[in-house]
Amino acid sequence: MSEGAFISTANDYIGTSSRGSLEMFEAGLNVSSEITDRLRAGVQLFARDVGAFHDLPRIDWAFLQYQHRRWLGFRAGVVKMPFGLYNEYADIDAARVPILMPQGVYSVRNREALLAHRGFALYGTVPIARAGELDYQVWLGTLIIPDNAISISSNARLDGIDTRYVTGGQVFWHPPVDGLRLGGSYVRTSIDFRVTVDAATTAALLAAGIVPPSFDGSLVISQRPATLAIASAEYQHGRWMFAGEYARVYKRERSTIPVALPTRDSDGELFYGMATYQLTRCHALGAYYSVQHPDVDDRGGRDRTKFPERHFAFQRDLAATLRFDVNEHWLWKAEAHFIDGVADLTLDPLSDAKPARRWGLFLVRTTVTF
Amino acid sequence: MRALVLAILAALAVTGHSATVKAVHAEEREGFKVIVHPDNPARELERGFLRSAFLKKSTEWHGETVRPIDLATRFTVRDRFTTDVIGKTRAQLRSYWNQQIFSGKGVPPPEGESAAAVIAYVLAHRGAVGYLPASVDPGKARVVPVR
Repeated sequence: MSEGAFISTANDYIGTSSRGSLEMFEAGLNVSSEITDRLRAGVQLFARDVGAFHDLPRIDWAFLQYQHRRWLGFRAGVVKMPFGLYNEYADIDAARVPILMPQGVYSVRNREALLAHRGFALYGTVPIARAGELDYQVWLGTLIIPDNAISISSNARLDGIDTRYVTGGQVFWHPPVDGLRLGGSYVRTSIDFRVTVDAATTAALLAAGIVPPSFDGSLVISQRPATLAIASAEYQHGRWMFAGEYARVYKRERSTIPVALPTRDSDGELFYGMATYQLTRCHALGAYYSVQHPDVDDRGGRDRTKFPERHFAFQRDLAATLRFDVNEHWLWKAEAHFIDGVADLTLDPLSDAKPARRWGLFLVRTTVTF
Repeated sequence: MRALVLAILAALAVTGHSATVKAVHAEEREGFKVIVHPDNPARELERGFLRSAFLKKSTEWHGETVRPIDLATRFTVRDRFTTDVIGKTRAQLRSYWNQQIFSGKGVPPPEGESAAAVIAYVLAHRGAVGYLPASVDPGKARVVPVR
């Protein structure tokens, strides 16, 4: 269970951060059981009230796990989706130093959609002689995306989300170097968003003649496909831990009104480097620098048809965290972010608000696990 | 930034950094021995296997389910074993088990409240593996070297 607070010097991030917010509450209750030596089952209920995200208790994950051999195991149910170094653990504050993981890869906004999938997974560890061993996971299922996980323009209403499939794989190589792991992850999905635009927009589209006369405001916007590929590296040495990841996000978006909303491709990149140091048994320091570019072909935001100002084309985040473990069950964290750019802000395209280019975000959080 | 540095220094002052460092150094001097069931055919154990067993990544050996047992956290030799064999600090290992527990993938090995409890557990399970402070008599459990 966690409670926290955050405030930003400008811009609203996560929620109304510019005025300060205490909306940083999360509670999870999980039960798991080792039914036999090889068979486990577990379920987690999770609720949160974090800024703009208000989730009533829902099943976060619930799966059975059968480990046939070390090299082959099987999971079925609502299964956590492994991508990158940390997505499976993105909901476990006690398992990391930062409060906010690098948002390009582990976005709070996408948590509900990308934490788990409903389907099947195979996993295992394969020794490769003197070269160490490989951990692998592959999966197939559908995404469970709550409506409130999506932000949408103020002139439209989201009617529903259909994911046709999500599939992916992850491999981590553990070479014979203590504490080092190198790997890659790939996720591919296809999602339809059913949307209704308001009457004024419908009338404007009809008047412009770019939709058929039968257009009633309903349309489908599809991401077919949306893919995420991540290269990851982590090295633990003594009290130090270093991690770095580079990710590419590719989407092909199309709609049922192609004249008004033509098919478009987007290719974004995200990367970060992070270091943590265990100062004492109770204290740890962490820092990372993360960068997001929604368009790799225009990292500087020169194209005014895509970005109203240059700083809409990137977000560079320098973050520092202090973690203090009061005991094995209770911890505190304080974190500061110095941010350049607004690429990760949720901005209503119809709003005239001009976000500040350089801004700070400060958070504190306490977590109890039991 | 200056405020953050001051906060770090204040926190360190409250909890006594130097005392903690001394305690860690004291633990590092204490050795351990690894024990298995007397019927276990293993004559020596690889460090990689032990690491895998105590992280619960290995499921079986010699036809038996691998059953690692830890000493309780108050035993200083546990930190030595965690560092030397598992290759993690205590905080890193806690983080690893938090990940496993709260993602439903597994729970840490059971903890023996005493050396005698660890020996009793190892004698009760043919697939068990545990460790003791180097100075403790393992009784009927068999000590195996680690390479």
